[in-house]
Parts: sequence; structure tokens; C-alpha cells
Amino acid sequence: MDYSKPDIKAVKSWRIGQAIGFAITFAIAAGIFTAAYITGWDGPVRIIVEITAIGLSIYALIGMVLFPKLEYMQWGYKVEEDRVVIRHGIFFIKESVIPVIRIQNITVSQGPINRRFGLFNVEIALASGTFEIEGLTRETADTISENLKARLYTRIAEKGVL
Amino acid sequence: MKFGPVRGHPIYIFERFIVDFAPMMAVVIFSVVRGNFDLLTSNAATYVIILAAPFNRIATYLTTTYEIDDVRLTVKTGWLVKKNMEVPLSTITTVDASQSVIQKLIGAVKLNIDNASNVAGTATKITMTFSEENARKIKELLKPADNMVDGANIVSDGAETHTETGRDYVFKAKDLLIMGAIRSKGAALLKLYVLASGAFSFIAGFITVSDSKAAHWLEMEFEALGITASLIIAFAAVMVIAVIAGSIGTYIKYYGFHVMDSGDAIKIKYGLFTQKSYTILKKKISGFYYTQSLFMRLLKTGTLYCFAIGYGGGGDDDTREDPIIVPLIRDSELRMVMARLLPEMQEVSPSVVPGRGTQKYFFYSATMVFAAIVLAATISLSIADFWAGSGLLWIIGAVCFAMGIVGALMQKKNTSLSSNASNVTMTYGGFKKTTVCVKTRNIETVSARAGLFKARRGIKSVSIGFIAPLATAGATAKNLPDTAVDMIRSDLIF
Repeated sequence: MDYSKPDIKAVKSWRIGQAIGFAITFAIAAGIFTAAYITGWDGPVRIIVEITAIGLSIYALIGMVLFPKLEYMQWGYKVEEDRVVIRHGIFFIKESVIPVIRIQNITVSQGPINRRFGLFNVEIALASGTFEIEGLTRETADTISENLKARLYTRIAEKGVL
Repeated sequence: MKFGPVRGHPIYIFERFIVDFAPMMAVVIFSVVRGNFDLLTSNAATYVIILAAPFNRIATYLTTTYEIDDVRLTVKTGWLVKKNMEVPLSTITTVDASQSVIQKLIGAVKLNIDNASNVAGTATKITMTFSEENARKIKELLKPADNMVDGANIVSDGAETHTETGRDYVFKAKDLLIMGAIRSKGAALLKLYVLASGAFSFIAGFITVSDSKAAHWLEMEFEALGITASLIIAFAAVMVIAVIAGSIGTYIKYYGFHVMDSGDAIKIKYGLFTQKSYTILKKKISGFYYTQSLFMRLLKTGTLYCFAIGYGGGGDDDTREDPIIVPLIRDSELRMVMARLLPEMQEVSPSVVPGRGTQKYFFYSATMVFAAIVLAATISLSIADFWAGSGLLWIIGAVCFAMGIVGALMQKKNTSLSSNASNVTMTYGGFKKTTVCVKTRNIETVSARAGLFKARRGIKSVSIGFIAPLATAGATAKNLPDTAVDMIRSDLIF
């Protein structure tokens, strides 16, 4: 079974998130430069701080332009009979296998940026942590959520669990 | 109503005396000594700062009550914002009791009550001090039940319900002293630094450097020995102090360490000034972890802890410390002791280790990047020679970098993973080696992570998530072959 992908609108949503990160980083960097100029701060520490601020700003800018597309290319999820497989990452790809029977609760959530695009995240909570399928349409999110609940109860009935 | 509603013991108000009352006392004493009460009278903000903590403590004591009926523990708390917490008795996993010397003198006992609620991502740890009589009643009423939620969404397979006859393990003072001496010294050195800084600041208030003979003597010795020998001697002296302090501290904390195995549960008791005792049902134990500092590895020993819902969760304070099962145990005895406590730990499978050509991936780490930055920065400062003696700063950078390299080499040597239907054993770490051994049925997730190039070569970092307090519910072994991922996934219970 091939991996399903988030909705294509997720790229725009992630890009806005990255843009906010870039704006904050850039504002901090600009603040450092301005403060250093006004106070006449000098010396090697100033150089190190300024280089770090420039580096972080460039990274945030690249993040805004490239990362959402790259992330979308890598994102994938599979909801199978007995397990959920989630694969995502930019430079490092992480693939997680979650047995359906271990699921404690399922939450469908929507942040302010996602609301603008009509996108939702499905959070799968386990005793040892939470996993997320991001950037889904309402219909897909509800389908996955209902599907997982039904499979969880089926597995619970089969395995004789609590 | 079986019990309550009752308040805790009034000593609760003064338990964190240094934290809650010290600012108030300091301001009052400062004002009295100086004979100037301006600080108290002229600044309203001072009142707020110095009175906030004591007021909060008193308000918490006065507004918190505890009730127990047949099915639930109810905690009502809050002054402006009322909070009513109901904890079903069937979910309570932990009722720990501890008693410091002062609490013992006035007949009070501190109880930590916890349940399996971190399963749902919210912690319900309740900590309160009660009179000895109330603490005894509460412990009796909240005794963890056998049929309670065991943190997993799957029934027990019955393997843990074996009932052996009781065994007692009492650890000798020698073991505790050795454990303290050879434990990881990072935290101890940091504490030592903070204490020494505070002490020097205090002493400096009375003695000026110019009229101190000791300072003059140190200066002369420093010049005579040279910078390198002086630094080595200073480092050795600090290490010796850390070892002695670690030994004494561990001995006091874990004095009389006593483990009683009653078959279905393990009861642990220890402490000289603050006595602790807790009972862990074996069905709550997901597995163990065995940590070894560098010194411990040289002596082929380590400390054995356990993972259990409702107990510990990381940290060094009394309420969050993970439960120690054996303070000092030899490598060769590890499997036997674990298997004696949990039969699932008996089966041993061949280990998968990082293959040839994977060493370079251990160097691609945040630690090495940090070490490289420190090296570059210290070399730059040495070349620029900004202040007297800064020309030798590169030595510190070189030592950091060398330690990073040695750490990466040790990480490869220490990494391994083995898996079977009963247990999964994962070993990782550089200077501090950790071996995690978890019941396979308590493993919840398996994740594999790799960069694009590493993935093409079939090398991945493998992480497992298992049922344990949230902060400790995972472990990762880096740069293992794909076969390790397949092996552990094939054993996972779906």
C-alpha cells in the first residue's frame, strides 16, 4: 500500500508558519545590530553574535522558501488494518510504526493558520507520546479518526482488552 | 465518606522554608542590620515579591482538603480559582511515604500520590504532608488495587503473576560508598561549583585578596608550578572532592537500601535523614535500565533502575527520581537479577550492532558540532591574544574536541539492539552507557530515522516508545543496519 499524502494546501500553511519564524528571527537579528550600533559595542563577541544572527536569519529564509515543498515531498502516512505508519522529515526522514491497539485517544485539531486553509491535524496519543498526521482536509481527518476508532474497538474486541 | 475532609499537616507551610521564606527573612535581617527600613517601607513591589511565596504556601495549605470514599480520592483546592480533582481509586498506582528528621520529630509524613494519568498526557501527582495517623489511614485506603489500569491498552498475558517466595536484598555501606564515588560527576561538579562560588563570595566580604596569606601562597605556587601543572592539580583536587562528596551524599541518601521481593511486588526502603519507602507492583514494571559512568564501566558495575507507570519520571528530586532497584550490580549479574524480578527478561537474543563504515555517522552529532565551535572559538581567541594568558585557551578547545571524538568512538562501541518475543534490549551512550531492557508487550512504537544518504546505505537510528512515565518513555540506538528495524518490528505486538 502506497503512502497517502497531506493536502497540497498544507505547503502554503507550513510556509506561513515558516514565514512567521523568519520574521521573528529577522526582527531579533535587526534588534541586535541596532543595539550594537547605538551602544557602540565592539570586540570579538559582537562579531560572533552578529554572524550567528545573520546565519540564523539566512536559515530561516531558506526554511521559508524551500522547506515546505521538501517536507511535502517526504510526508506520507498509511492507515492499515492493525497499524498506522507515519513518515516525515526534511533532511532526516523519520518513519514511525504505531500499532492501532496501543492508541489511547485520537484528537482532530486545527490551528489558526490551518483554519485559513480549512486544514486539520489528527493527533494520535499513546502512553509513550503523541504522533500527528498533518495538513488534512476535514473529510480526510474525520475519515481517519472514525476509521482508527472503529479499528481500535475491533482490535480491543479481538484481543480481549480492558 | 471513609476519610476526611482533612487538611494536611501545618508543617507543609514551612517545608520549603529556604525558597518561600528566605527572601522575606533576608529583607528583614538586612533592614535590621543596616538600621534602615526604607527597603521595607518605600517600595510596594518589595512586599509583593517577598510575601508572594509564603502567602501562596499558606493559602494552599488552608484551602486544600482531602476526602476518600469507596471509589475516589477528592482533592479540593484553590482560593480565588477553585479546583476539584477526583481521582478514581482504581487508577492510583503510587502512594509513597517519606519522612525527614524534622517531620519525624513532629510526627508528620509526606505522601506522594500518583496515578496512571500520564497515559493520557496529564500528570496527577499529589504531594502533601499529613500527620502520621492520617498518612497511615490514607495509605491503607489508597493501597493500589490488583485490578487497576496497568497503563497499557492491552490485557496482561499473565506472565507477571508468578508468585515466588519473598527475597530480601540489603545493600552494604561499601556498595553505596563505591556507587557515590564512581557515579557520573557532571551534576556533582556543577553543585560543587555553585557551592564554592557562594562560599567564596561570602568569604570575600570579610577578607580582601591583598591581605589574605592563603591567596598570596596560592599565587606563588601557581607561578612556581606553571599553568599546565596548576590546572592538572586543580582538576585532580576538584575530582577528589567530588568523589568524596559523592560518596558521602549517596551514603546518606540511600542509607540502609533494602529491597524486598514479595513475588508480586517489590518494596524498597532507604534513607538516613529522609526515609523513603515505596511498593511497586511487578505488573506495573515495563522494564529496567542500567546506567554506567566511565568509572563504573572500568569496574564492570552499574546502577539498575526500573520503568514503572506512576513512579519517577526523570530528575533528581525526591518525587521525580526513577526508582533504583539495585544501587551497584556487576555486569555479569545483570540479566540474572532482571530475570529474577521479571521472567520476561530471561531470554537473550543475538545483538545487532552498527556495521563497518558507520563510525563517521557517530561524528555527525550536535556534540561534535559544539566541540568544533568551541575549538574554533578558542583558537581564534588564542591567536588574537585579547588578554594575558588567552594564548593558551586553545588547549581547552582541543580537550573539548578530543573528548567529543572519544565520546563518538565509545558511542559506536556501546550501541547494540536485540529483540525477541519477550524483551527488547537496547544499549547506547558514550561516556555514560545505558542499557534499556523492556518487555516486548509494553513497547508501543518503533521509529526509524535517517538522512537521505544514510538511508541509501541502509543505516538508521532506531527509537522505541514504551509504557513508562512520559519523560522516560523512549530510547534510541543510533546508526544500526536496516535489519535491526525489521527485527524489532517483527516482534512488535499489533
